[in-house]
Amino acid sequence: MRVMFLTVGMFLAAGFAVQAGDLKLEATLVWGTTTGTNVSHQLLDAKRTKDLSRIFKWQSYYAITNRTAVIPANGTRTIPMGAKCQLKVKNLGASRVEVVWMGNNKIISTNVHTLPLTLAGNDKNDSAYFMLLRSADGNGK
Amino acid sequence: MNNELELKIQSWLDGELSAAEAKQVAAQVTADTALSGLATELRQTKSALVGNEMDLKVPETREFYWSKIARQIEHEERKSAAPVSVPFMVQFRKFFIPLAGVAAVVAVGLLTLNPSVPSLSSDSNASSGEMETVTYRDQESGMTVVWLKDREESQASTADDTSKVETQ
Repeated sequence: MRVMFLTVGMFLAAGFAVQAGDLKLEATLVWGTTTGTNVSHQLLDAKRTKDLSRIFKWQSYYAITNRTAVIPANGTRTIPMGAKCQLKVKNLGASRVEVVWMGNNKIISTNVHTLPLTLAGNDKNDSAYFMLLRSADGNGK
Repeated sequence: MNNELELKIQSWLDGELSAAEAKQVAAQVTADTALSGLATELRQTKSALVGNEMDLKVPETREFYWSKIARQIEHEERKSAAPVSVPFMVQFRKFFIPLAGVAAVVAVGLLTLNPSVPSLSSDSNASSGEMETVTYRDQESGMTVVWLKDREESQASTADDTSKVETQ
């Protein structure tokens, strides 16, 4: 009898996991630099600064834009991150997303990955930009 | 002639009556022709049985023969008293097979209704013609990093590296 209930439970859990719920996504546009200080923006939180500093050469990270969006399962939301920069994020379920990064109305990149995800690239004056994406439901992903 | 008298005559012939009863029955048989005929018939039957009864012998001893019967009786009693127990695998199959069928139908239904369920290994990157991507997985933070790089910048960097190697 216990085996039967366990089996039913597993199948039901698997079924609901496939369905997946809404994704509360946090997107943060970050600027990384080694030299200058930027007083007009707040420093990125310590945890993510530590993670980025361990991977990249830049030591100072500033949060330029921070947005959250609730994306239903299989739904897509457009998140404006700047005057000419926006993200189109599709919730694929199980913390997976398809991210289309657009700049000046042109697609820069399309990426399918599991959160947390960072899209990054070089910027002027030996600095860099980072698009940090994570689930904002409290599990840090 | 009543039944009781018939039984009494039978007992008289078998020698099971007391002397007084035997004397009384003998007098009745002598006096009555019907009773006398019954007595004669019973005597003949008795002599026929005694003379022709088959002498059956069992191969076992008497004690062993009866112990076998006793064991068989005990076994039958236990069998009727014990509850019917169905093996676990039979019970498991009885529930699991229909359950597995239902689960398979549900799974197929969910996948059909939700065809965009991603595969765990379907990570992908596509960039515009001007950019190229490099993907890095940081195990410590569990974060995936996609580095976007201008192709011109990348080529210039490669050219720089090549010239450095050539001048060395």
